[in-house]
Amino acid sequence: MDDDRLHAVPDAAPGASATGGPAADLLLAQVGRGDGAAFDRLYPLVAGPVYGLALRVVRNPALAEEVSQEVLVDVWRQAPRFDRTRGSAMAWVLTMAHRRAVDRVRREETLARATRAAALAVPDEEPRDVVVDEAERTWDAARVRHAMAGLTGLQRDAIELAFFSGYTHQQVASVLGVPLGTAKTRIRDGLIRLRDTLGVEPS
Amino acid sequence: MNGDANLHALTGAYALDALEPAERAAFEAHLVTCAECAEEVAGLRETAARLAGAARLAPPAALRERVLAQVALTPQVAPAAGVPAEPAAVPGGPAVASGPAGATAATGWSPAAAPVGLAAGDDASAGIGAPARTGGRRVPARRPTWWGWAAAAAAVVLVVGGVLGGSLAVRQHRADQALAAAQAHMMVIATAPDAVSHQVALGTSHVVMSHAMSAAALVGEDVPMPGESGMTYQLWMVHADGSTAPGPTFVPDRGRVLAFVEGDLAAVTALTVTEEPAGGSSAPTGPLVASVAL
Repeated sequence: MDDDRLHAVPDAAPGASATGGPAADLLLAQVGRGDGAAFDRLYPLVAGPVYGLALRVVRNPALAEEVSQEVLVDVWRQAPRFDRTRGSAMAWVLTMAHRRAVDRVRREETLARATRAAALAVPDEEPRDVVVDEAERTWDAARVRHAMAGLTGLQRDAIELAFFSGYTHQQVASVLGVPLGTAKTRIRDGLIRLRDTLGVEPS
Repeated sequence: MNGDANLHALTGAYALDALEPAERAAFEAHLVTCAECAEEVAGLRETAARLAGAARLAPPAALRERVLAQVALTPQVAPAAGVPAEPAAVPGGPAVASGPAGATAATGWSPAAAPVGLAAGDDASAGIGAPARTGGRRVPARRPTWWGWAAAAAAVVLVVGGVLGGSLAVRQHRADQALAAAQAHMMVIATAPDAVSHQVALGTSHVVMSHAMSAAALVGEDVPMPGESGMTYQLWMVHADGSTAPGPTFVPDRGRVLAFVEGDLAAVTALTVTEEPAGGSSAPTGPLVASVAL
């Protein structure tokens, strides 16, 4: 029995990095073949990034959890379509997560914005079952912060608004008071510079 | 700029989901024919994933249980054409909880068929998936079953009381939801055509069992706490040959208990309750608290 209980806590995630690494790629491929055990092992690698991203975008813990649940179930459902030659597992999962979070925030914009301040003020003391390595997270965050610091102010603002606030590029343009074409190119230029600074490997 | 150049400039906005639906559709049509854009989008998506990865946060513990429960019910899509398909992509979720399929003919209760325990205030760690790992092997993934779902939902209630303090209201809400699911589970057993009920001398408790549903539920009120602190109640299945199979552990929550066992009940001649050290035992070690012949 005791052994069971030890196992009930998900395995620590060796190699859990910002990109999930080859472990996530391999596991997602196994999940795509209907392997439920592989999904169990993939979960701790992807749940933290999915939830963190969802929370950044929707700004409401309950909504973020709902979005995360939909995404993670969708990871299982869609896994047979994952193609490693077209990108990493983590990018595949987080693309789905971002799309879903953005769709939700646009749909529930009024509600979400109204509850934003309140939600941010709620101390979160939920029990956690995915161990997020704080040091590693801090390190990743520092790298990203450093890379973001290398952007122009306009590039950085455009990316922040588009990615973390879920704005369309029209909204980005309007908030930043720049022409639409400028918003588009700043988002692209900025991302390309981030890609190069972070040393993102083409897959 | 011509149209294609305009579209090419959208790679970044597309990678960040910052296009309006109509633009998105137009760009996706363009992507099919433009390898250059497709490659750039792939690289920018990896970059966006790095931004997201740096924002990661530990999700609420209950999320995992809900995801696994839902996954057990969710069939997978077919692989896209062009993706090499492996044979035998059996739809089915992770081994969420052992149900009747895990039982062996010999005992009626294989080790892997450890029932899902459900009791307020017991052991929040005995979550979904734990039973399936007994004995160092996993129950093979299989088709989603109603049982899998119900057992998973029931297991969620294990968080009740074990984690008091902190955001009580949220937890209570979750606990209430899980309790409602557990009660629904019990109703299904209790309303089965062959359901029978037996009184149990543990507070005001009874066992409801159904051979048709291959399940039994122990439900009670006014149940005293175990005699010693750190001890827990545990339910046992006793077979005709005198052997026992371990059931869930539980402690009362405000006097109430609710615990389930699943499997082939034909081989079970009695259910007993003992007091065991926290975490439960694999064979009874503590004093017998109650016994009911089936």
